[in-house]
Amino acid sequence: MHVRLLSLLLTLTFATLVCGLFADEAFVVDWHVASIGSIDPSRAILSPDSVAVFSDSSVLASLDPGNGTVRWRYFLRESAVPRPSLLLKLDSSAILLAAATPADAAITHIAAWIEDSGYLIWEAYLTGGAPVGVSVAGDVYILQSGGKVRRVSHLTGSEVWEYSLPEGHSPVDIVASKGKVLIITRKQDSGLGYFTVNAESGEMASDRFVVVDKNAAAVSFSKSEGYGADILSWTAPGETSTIMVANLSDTTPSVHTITPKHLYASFSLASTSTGVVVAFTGLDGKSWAESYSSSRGKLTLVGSTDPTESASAVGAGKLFEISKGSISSFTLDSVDVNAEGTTEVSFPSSPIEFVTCSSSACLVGYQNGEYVFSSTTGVTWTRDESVTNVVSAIFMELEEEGQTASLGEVLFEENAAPLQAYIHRVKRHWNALAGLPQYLISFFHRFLSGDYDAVPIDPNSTVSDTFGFRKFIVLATTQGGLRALDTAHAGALAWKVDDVLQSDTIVGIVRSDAKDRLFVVGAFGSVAYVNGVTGKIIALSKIAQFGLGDKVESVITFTDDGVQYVAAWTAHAQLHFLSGSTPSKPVYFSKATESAIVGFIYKEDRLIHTWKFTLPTSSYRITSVASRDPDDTTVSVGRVLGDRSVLYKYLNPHILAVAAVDDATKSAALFLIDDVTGRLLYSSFHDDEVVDTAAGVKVVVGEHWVVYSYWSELATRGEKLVVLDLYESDIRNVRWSEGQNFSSFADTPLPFVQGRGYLFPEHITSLAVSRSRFGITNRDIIATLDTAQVALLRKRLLDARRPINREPTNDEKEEGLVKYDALIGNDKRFIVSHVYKVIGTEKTVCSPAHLESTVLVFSYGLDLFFTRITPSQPFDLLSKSFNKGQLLLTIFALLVAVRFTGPMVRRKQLNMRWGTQK
Amino acid sequence: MATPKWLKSYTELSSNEVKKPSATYPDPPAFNKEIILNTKTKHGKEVLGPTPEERDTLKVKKAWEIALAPSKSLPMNAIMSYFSGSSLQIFSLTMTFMLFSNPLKAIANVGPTFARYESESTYSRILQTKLVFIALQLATVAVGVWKMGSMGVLPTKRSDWLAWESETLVLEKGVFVS
Repeated sequence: MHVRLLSLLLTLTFATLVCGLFADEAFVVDWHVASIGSIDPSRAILSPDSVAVFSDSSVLASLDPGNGTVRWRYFLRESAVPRPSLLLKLDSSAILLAAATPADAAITHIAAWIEDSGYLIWEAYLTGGAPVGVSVAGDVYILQSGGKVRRVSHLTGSEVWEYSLPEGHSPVDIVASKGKVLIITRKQDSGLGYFTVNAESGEMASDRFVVVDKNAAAVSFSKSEGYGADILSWTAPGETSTIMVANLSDTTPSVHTITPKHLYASFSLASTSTGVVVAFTGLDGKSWAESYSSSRGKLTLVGSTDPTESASAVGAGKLFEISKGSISSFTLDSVDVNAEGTTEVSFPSSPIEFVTCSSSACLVGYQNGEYVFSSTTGVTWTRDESVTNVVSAIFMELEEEGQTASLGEVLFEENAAPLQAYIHRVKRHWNALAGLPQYLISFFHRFLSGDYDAVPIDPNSTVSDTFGFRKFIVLATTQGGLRALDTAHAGALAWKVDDVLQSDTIVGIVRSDAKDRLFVVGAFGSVAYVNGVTGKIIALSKIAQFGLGDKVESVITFTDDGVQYVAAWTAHAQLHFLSGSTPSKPVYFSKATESAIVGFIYKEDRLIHTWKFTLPTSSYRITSVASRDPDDTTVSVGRVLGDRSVLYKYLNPHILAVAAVDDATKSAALFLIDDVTGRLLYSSFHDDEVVDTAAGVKVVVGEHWVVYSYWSELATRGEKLVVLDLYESDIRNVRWSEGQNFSSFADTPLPFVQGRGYLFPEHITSLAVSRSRFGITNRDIIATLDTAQVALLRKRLLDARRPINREPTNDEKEEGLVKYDALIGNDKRFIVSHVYKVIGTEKTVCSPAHLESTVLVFSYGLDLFFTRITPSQPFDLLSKSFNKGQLLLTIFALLVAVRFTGPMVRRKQLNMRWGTQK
Repeated sequence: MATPKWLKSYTELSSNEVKKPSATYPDPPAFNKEIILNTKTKHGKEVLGPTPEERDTLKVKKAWEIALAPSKSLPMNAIMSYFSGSSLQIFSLTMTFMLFSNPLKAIANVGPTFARYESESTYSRILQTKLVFIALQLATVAVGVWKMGSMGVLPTKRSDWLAWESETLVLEKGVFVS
């Protein structure tokens, strides 16, 4: 074993530094799911040739209405936030987005985009507050929360005129039509009303503030958008039986009262060519629609639909009703609501969140995060955006194909009487013979194709490939669902479950001690025991003795003395063990709060508070805490230097790296503490820099090192990457921990910490460490970047021993050290996401393949990105370019040569012995 | 079957049948037949064989020569080892291998090597030469060991035993609740 390890280490030592991704591996080993995020119906525009969306995740996207794929999308993190923001059509080919900038809500960013191509036509930044209302009538009229009204040229985005609301008015909305602009406001003592501004000059047309209702409460607004009249609707406070409506398109708007047939919980109002249609959702969840016609200054009810278990919406003169199994459409005219047709469609069974329709199709949002685009003939496409709201992601191991011996059988053979075990084994082998023909076929197939990492062809199978590249990634979504993605089939959905915990929100998922089982834990103590390979819910239960008003904060799993425990940690600092047994030995827990780390001891089935680590000043705020992956294994306890002496690694598994920022002084700090005793092991402060405290500090703990990064403006603007290597002693060959047990309570020496700072040019949004199966392979740091990329940072490059201001000596060269250079350039070879635009990733998880060299990497957040990395080159894998045919041919040629030359040599030797030939 | 006479005269140069006819020709001018034919007796005195003591001394002298032969190649080996560097290359590896294999082979064959000079009377003296011979071969091996050391393949440093050092057992179990 040691010899093998040594030879492996030797191989790794000579592995070159440079290794990214080969061109023939791109798009083969990796995949990417481009998402847009949750859709809000108020920021979705449906038109026959496009679906434009500005999502809750700040993604402006245009979807192909034919198949739902993203035609183009922009992640507008820099220029807009979802709320308050408005998306509307500028003209037939362009859309307009107005949104408050995240940095300063008083500034509105307004931009026009071509809908087909996604090109920006113009953009402008307007002071005067967030956008409250935008209306397009040729030019763009915008009403801002600061009381400013602006007319902006629809061709250039330049301002034509500006108008300020009189004192005492708070803006509600704006309606522009030819010649005049109606500004709807609320005046302090007069109530809801409007006044008119001349569209050409920007001056008040009449100084009259027309009050429409003194007591208006919730105001909703339905603008014509080129169809029907501009209708203002509102409700009186506390009144859910009537709706007030005013038609602003009339020369003298009059107020009408609509009295629905039933009590409603919510309504949406749309104007038609003849009047208005109101879609109601009743208190019992049923929905219906009522159509009113306006004639001779009166609104009269002309038709309605029956309350059903459905959702309805109006799109350009048509009413659509969507139930679980069908979509129905109705035409609206001045005399009736006419059923046009009903199509049986299988929609998702999840409850409907919203329906928004155009004249021919509807976009239906479901509570499980799915969006269905359906016309009256059936579902056109479905998008699952629930994967943009992931609570937790976990890799599921799959069984290898053809594993005939289960663990139980092997254990039986090991423990049974020899004869019995022998008979059992012979029987097992006999049974396994049945699979021999298939094995031979696959063997020769594989031999001929030379494709050893070929995955099982059938995506429906649940078996792993030879090298363990195929796994399932189980995602828990904020909507309470589980999604399993197949790593080998470009992230195809393997299975999905909605509402696992029956309307409890998922806090976390952890693997149980059984290999393919998962615990899904909800905030209110629901626990589901799920088969992670098939998605079947095996058991659903509640945590026993769950405190009243308590909430699960996190789910933890740990192994002690070979036993795996799963526990839920609650807000009342209670620990509930889910897997039955509780640890007999004391276990030390630590938990981070806003500005402190708190320690607990769990013994005799009780959790007792023990210590508290507070930050040096109260202005510090903890941004991230990291500990070493408990599954990470150490192969070598020391680091071999060039002169073959050893620096012993400080391998304290209790290290907790606590990163904090100070918002007032714009500084950052890092503390290494022992999470059993709370002892401070090391601290470093970055006081004289201007740290981006909103972005926080990203920190990871590797084997015996800590890497953290933060963005700062001084001394050089950029992301600062700091690496801290921890050793037992600064003296070589000294190991104080030798031959004794390590205890955090013992007075052990502090680690010797070597640190180096590096500079990275891009914003890093998250850091993660790769973990290989046996820990022999180097560890890489995976960074997700602001530039929508995923990069690998070599730990060998981020070394704290690189010599500064001088060339490395021979010994240092032998150690693999290169001269220190502060700048870790954004080397394109280390961008593993290559051409993919991986936007909004917030977290990365890693899982080892069966091969020691390979690590599976999965990043999630908004987009999903998966790839395989080989931090020390694929040393246990033949390269794709390996010429197997040539090798076989050479062997064959040699065989032939031996066959022919053998007799010749034999004859010659015989003759020589006889002396008949010289 | 006896070899035919013609075959013998054609295949064997020493056969008289070929040489004999030469006598029928006269000698070239100035050819002194006497000088050629009487070389052995030129000094005019009969050579006597050495006494046994002299023969023993001669043998021991010869044995010493053989025993000291490795000392001549030793400096060359050392210099070559030094200059071939410490890198692991085929040349230095073969050389190092030679530094071990040759002396060991020689030591194994020390009996046959000195057997020709060994007799009852010279036994103790030959033994000395043997010991010196073995010592010098061991010195060559020592050069080989030094060479291996300089190549770094001798487990003399701490790092060579690192793989056998195990991780420290940790007594407490700490869990961070994220």
